[in-house]
Amino acid sequence: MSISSLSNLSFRGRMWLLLAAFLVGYVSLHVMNQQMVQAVQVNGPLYDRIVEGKDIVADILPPPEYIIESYLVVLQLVQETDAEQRQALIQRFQALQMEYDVRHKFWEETLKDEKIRKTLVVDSFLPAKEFYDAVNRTVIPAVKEGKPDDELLQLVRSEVQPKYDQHRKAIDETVALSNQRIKDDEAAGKNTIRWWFTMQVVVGAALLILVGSISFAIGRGIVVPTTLMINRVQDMAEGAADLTKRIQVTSTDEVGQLGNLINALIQKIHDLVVRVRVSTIELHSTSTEIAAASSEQSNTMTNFNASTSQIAAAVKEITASGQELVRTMDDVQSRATGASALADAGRSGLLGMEESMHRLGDATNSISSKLGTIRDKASGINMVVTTITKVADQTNLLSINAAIEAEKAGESGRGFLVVAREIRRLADQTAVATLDIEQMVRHMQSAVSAGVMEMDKFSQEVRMCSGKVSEISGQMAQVIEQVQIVSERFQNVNDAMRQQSAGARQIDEAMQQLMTGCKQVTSTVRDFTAAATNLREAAQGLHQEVGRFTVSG
Amino acid sequence: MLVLMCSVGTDRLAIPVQSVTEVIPRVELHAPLNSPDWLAGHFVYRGHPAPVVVLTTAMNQATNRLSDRIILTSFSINSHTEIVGLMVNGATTQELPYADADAAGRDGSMKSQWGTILLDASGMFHLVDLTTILRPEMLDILFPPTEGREGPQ
Repeated sequence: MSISSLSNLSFRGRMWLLLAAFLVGYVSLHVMNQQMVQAVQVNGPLYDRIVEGKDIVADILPPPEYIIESYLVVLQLVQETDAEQRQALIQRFQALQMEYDVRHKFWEETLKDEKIRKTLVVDSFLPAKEFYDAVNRTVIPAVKEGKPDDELLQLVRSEVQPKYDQHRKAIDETVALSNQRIKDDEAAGKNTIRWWFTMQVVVGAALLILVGSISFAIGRGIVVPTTLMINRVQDMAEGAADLTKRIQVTSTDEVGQLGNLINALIQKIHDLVVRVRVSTIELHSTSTEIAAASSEQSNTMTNFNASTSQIAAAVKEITASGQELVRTMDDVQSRATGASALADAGRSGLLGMEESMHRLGDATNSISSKLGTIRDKASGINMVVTTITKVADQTNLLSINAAIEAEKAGESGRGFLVVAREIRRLADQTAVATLDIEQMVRHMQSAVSAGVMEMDKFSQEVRMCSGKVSEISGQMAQVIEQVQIVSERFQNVNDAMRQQSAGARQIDEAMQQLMTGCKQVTSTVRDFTAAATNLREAAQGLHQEVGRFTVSG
Repeated sequence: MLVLMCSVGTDRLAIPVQSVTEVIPRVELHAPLNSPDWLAGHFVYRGHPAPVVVLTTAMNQATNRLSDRIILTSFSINSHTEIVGLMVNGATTQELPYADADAAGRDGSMKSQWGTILLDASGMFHLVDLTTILRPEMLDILFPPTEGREGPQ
């Protein structure tokens, strides 16, 4: 399947394809795995061949760890008579002993199983060691001495055979243990394979469910909103009128962004339609206004025509009135001259009054200064009164001291005491009189102060009057001047009226021309009214077209 | 008996004229530094400095009026005759219907810190002895004692 044919599939189909590919791949991998396990498993063909090979070798070769060959060599040695053959057998025996030592060391280092290790390395080794020691110590020296066969055989039976029997027993035990272990291992191998197979199946099923649900979710996340968008855009393409509907965007991925962009596009179209609608309404109202205005203008022009005729009549009347006005103006001019003379007489009277005012002000000032003098004098009287008070006080003291002295003098001072009392009485009366004077002077001073204040106020009023009289006099002068100017202006107006009369005739001619122009304008306005009506109809049609769209706000 | 009737604050005092040397108007006084409250100051009387005592009570604030008077009396101290002034207000002479101070003391039933309390047409007044007002400890401060001292002359 090529890439181009893939793009023709729907998203849902692609997802199913992906899931199927995954399933096929996984199952084939599993089958291959099973095949491999079948080939190499315990008790499988390969395993059987390897075990067979090992069995053959074990069956053919004499076992070095089992001392049966050494035992046979000893028996052979006992029966052998030829010296050379005996020497060769002894060498053979020693080589076997060395080989046993090497194998024993190997097994001692490598064997881990505790049970087998005990039987092989300990139980079988000790009798084997004693066997070799016994042969080397007794049998070989006896053979070398050339003892008879019966004696040698007796020696072997007594010294060597029991060791060999012990060793043989331990080896049998070891073999039994090893066989048992092989059986156990084979069973364990089968169990392991079965367990891992089950695990593979379970994990595979779980993976399939997981991948399947993720694919379904992804497919759904793309397909559902895409279908919504396609439906909405299709609606728009087929000319759906509702522009307020929006696609619901729930995700922020590429599909969500696409949804948002489509929404923004619809919003743009919506705004455009709203603006067009507003403009259409405005256009419609404007065209209506234009139509109304033009028909109104047409009426106005008709009225204007009538007015123009009226104006022409009025201009004629104005000409007649102008003549009458000229006569009236002459009369007014002679009266203005008389008013000017009267104003002159009034002004000279006012000047006399101003002079009298000035004199009154001067008199007031003089009275004020005299009142000031009286106030100063009163202050002088005050000083005198203070002096008298002090003298009376001193006199009072003097009389007291005199009375004291008189009292001290006793009977001879009696007469003087009376005098002193009289002096004190006079001093007291003086003090009382002084108090009266002081009070009177204070009253006088306050009266004079009030008078000065009144005079100041009066003087100010006189000044104000004088100022007003001057002002009125100035205004009178202005009146006279104005009347004289008016008199001249009346003459000018008279001349202008005559010119106006001539101008009115020219206006009359102009009015005739204006009436002709008006008729032309009226026909033009009528054409314009027809055009405005057409415009209004076109705006109405546009408004209906735009009104098909549903918009918010 | 002739007495000098004067007032100190709201109290009226009657001083027997026998103990008065002279009555003078208020003069300018020079108060020494750190002087006691009752000492108004000194002034020169006939070529000698004389102290002036002012009587102060709770009701009597020192005033400064044109009718203030200084009553002078003399003491013989350290074999000199010393003049002491007493600041009062509105002094005038008045005749009392008693022969002397003892007779008045017997007549008056009430005693005050000033002396005997008596009555006249204007109301209550104190008949006082200047030695009661100018107490010996005041004189000891004004004229520190070197010899014996006698009473008012």
